[in-house]
Amino acid sequence: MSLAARAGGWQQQRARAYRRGLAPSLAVLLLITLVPAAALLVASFTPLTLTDPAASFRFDDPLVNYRQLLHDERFIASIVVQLKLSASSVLLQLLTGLGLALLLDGRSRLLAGARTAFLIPMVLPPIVVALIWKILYTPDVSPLHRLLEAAGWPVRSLIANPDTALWAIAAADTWQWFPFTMLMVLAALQTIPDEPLEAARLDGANRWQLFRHIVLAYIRPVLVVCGLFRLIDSFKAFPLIYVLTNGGPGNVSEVTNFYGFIQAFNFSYWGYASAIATVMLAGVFFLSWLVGRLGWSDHGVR
Amino acid sequence: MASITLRKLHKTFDGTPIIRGVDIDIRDGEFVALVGPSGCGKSTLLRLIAGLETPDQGEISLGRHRIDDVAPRDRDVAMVFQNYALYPHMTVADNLGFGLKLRGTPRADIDRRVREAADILGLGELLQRHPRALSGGQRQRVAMGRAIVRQPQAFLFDEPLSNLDAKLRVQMRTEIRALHQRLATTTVYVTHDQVEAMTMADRIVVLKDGKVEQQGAPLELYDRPRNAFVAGFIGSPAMNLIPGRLQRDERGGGSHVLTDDGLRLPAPLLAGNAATHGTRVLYGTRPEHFSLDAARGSSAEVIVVEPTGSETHVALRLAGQQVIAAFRERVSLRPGDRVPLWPQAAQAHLFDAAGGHRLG
Amino acid sequence: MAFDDFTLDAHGLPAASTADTGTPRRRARPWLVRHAREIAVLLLLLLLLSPFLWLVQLAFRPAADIFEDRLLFVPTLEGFASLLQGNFLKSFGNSLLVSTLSTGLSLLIGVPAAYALTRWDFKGRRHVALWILVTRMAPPIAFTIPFFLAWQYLGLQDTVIGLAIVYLTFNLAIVIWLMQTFFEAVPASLEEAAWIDGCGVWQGFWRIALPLTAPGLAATAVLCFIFSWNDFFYALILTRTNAITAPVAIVNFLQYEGWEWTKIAASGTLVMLPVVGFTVLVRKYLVRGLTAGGLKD
Repeated sequence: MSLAARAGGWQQQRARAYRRGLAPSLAVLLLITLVPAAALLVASFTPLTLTDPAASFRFDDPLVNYRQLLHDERFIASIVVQLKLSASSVLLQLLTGLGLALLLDGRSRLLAGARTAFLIPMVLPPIVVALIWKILYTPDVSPLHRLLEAAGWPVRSLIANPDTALWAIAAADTWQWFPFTMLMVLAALQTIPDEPLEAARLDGANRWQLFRHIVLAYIRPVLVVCGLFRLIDSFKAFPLIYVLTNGGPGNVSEVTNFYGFIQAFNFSYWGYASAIATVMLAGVFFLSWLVGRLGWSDHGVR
Repeated sequence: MASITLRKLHKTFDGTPIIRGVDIDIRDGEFVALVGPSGCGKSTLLRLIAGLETPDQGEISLGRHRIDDVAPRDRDVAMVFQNYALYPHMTVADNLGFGLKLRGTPRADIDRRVREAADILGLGELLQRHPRALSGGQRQRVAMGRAIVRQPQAFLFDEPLSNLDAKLRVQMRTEIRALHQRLATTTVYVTHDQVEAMTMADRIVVLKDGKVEQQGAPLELYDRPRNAFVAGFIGSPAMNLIPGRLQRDERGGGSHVLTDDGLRLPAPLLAGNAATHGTRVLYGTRPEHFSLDAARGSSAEVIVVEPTGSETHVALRLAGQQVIAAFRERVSLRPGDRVPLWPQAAQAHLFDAAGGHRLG
Repeated sequence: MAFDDFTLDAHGLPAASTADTGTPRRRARPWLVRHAREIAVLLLLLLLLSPFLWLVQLAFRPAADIFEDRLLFVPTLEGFASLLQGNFLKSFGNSLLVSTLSTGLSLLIGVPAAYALTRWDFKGRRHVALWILVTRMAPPIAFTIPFFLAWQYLGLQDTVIGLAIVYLTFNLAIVIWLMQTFFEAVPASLEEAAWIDGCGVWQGFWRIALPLTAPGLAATAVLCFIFSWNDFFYALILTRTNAITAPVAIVNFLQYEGWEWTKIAASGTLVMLPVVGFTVLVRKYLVRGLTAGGLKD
């Protein structure tokens, strides 16, 4: 046996020490992430409900929930809503964040202060963000409505209107999360070396060309990672919808996450809700893996 | 008894063998330098002695105890790192006393011993400072102080002077040597600078590719290198090695080396049949063993002249290659001059061209 | 960064340039154009932060005033005072308690793990990263259903400790991810010196490595606190009256006292104060905390 592997030796002592440091975390993580995930999966194979837990905890037809999901119009509609909301919101966030980052990239104190001030929407507790926009969308107390009224365009409540409800939420979501893109693009802008820019300037490139050909190349990977990150995060959106529209009017703003919430905590169809959650989890897992691949291998165009 | 013994040591990292069978004996109180080119494994050997790595095979002993895989803290050795590794968040005094504090030494003793070490190294004024407020040389001394305070059985130095400027390096060399004479603690000193090894060590171990090429007193390695590698490594400027063929003289019982250029160089007397006629050899002669001999010298063209003050180093073209000669006396030579250069036969070395080992 | 004359107008397009490179300027540019960027920034600041500012000013309005059109008013603390009756203070205290507890637990369990992962030659680093990313990204619904059922069974429903444990799902990952990067910045030779001086592995951790990560440790703690404080979903499902946290209390106001806008605004303002304050402190580490697992640091 190699000396290094001899029990009681320093190498062994060290390995044991590290294992002891790691063990509690692994145990806890196993317990609070893998076990619940497994339980979720198991529950998704049963028609478990609150009304009769003992009887409904059976596995005679494990795929019953999943089959039902395929036919569930409300579920499919929720996915469409989720995609609409995520796509529009993430796109707006990226554009706004990018634009602000470009505007604020400079050395003055005003810009530095602005960069910190613009972080506020992102760091507010999500419930406070929901609150702010609830106020803004409640005609009685909303300055928005009053301004529009004063300008001669009286509008009814945006969140009570099925046509505009989703856009109203998208606007609030964009407001909340544009600083994320802004932060990351700003960080990326810091890493662009001066030489290519100066060389291009000497060659006579104007600002738009500078941006299109040089800056964009450097920040494109960041934008992609940003977009993916925000996309995955957007699936978790809850406080905004809960507070602003509660999924309505009708089901117009009911995203998949919310639908699962209703199934679990309004109707108490645990089994079915677990199936919904499992599908979401699978999607998140895949997208996270994608992010991990991009973030780890393609970090920057150097 | 603080002797250190390394027996048949092997160590592999990620599938690459770094130490490939090393045997070294270090006597109590000796100052031994481990030298070699980068990658030869000298730092790894030091880390094995310190306990920061564990050997795959072999034995390490300190005094009478086997310490192959004993934890570093139980080995009673102290190490001075190349980048000093001072604790940034502690004062110099705390840095010095850290080891003693860990062993539960009473406060009063710690203070006394810290003060003693500080006095020896001239750190008295700096005890309350933090490492970031010290110069490179001061940090070096604190690193040494940390080792001294513990009064270990052996000091281990890992290229401690390589981060200092040249002048400071020379000064610290003397100080380290003086320290060793004062404390007489067994010292293992790793360096890539053979001048440091030559001036400081009682014995030198030359390493290459994880193996010991030669170990012995500095002058022993200088005068009788065991192979071409050691010959070329020890001594600055390096020994000149000229390829040729060993041949017996037509008259008399001596031999000479015929270079590819047709030049006949005087060979030293070889005992017995140390080498046969016709063997391809490397003819080694140190720069200071060239002389200007109008009678026997062969014409060499001066390429570069480097006066260093005490000596003059001259690069010349001889026997189809560049050689370096070192003259004590002032010579007035200019590039392009032709001079009669002659190596002293008695001081020449012969090495087998194929295997590199010494002949005779 | 040589980007100082790059201006965008309000639509995000490059502003009309008045100083092309190479063109000699004969007149100084008008003040408005020279400061176009600063003006744009200030306008945008006002525009984009107005929703937030509106909430804060609403909290200081006299209750009678909120339906008025006046912008100016005499600030009052009525809204805040009305919070003293009822459940809100308790929920605020619960938020403090849960966040602190969760942060403490996460640090206690996670910091040694981060250290072990850094110093141990661990081949599975990318797998750990993926797992961290997934736990952060997973929709809370995936964990709440099992936890709800389990907590009912174990009697941890509507308890502070129950909620704190659930917060470990995302906080532990954050701690391990961030502290790893901070431990990596500590040179291994310092710990080696400590080992030779007489430390064992965990002594070296406690005396040398950990103190040198103090600023990073503080930032990690603050981030954990913020994430715990901000949570809504878990708190909504897993608390009732005992362990109710501030975000849930606000929603209760909306549902049962929906017309008391100053009170609601005041509660919102209070709830966001600790977070905004802390964020300014950890601004430097925000990106790292928010992109945990997804980007190679």
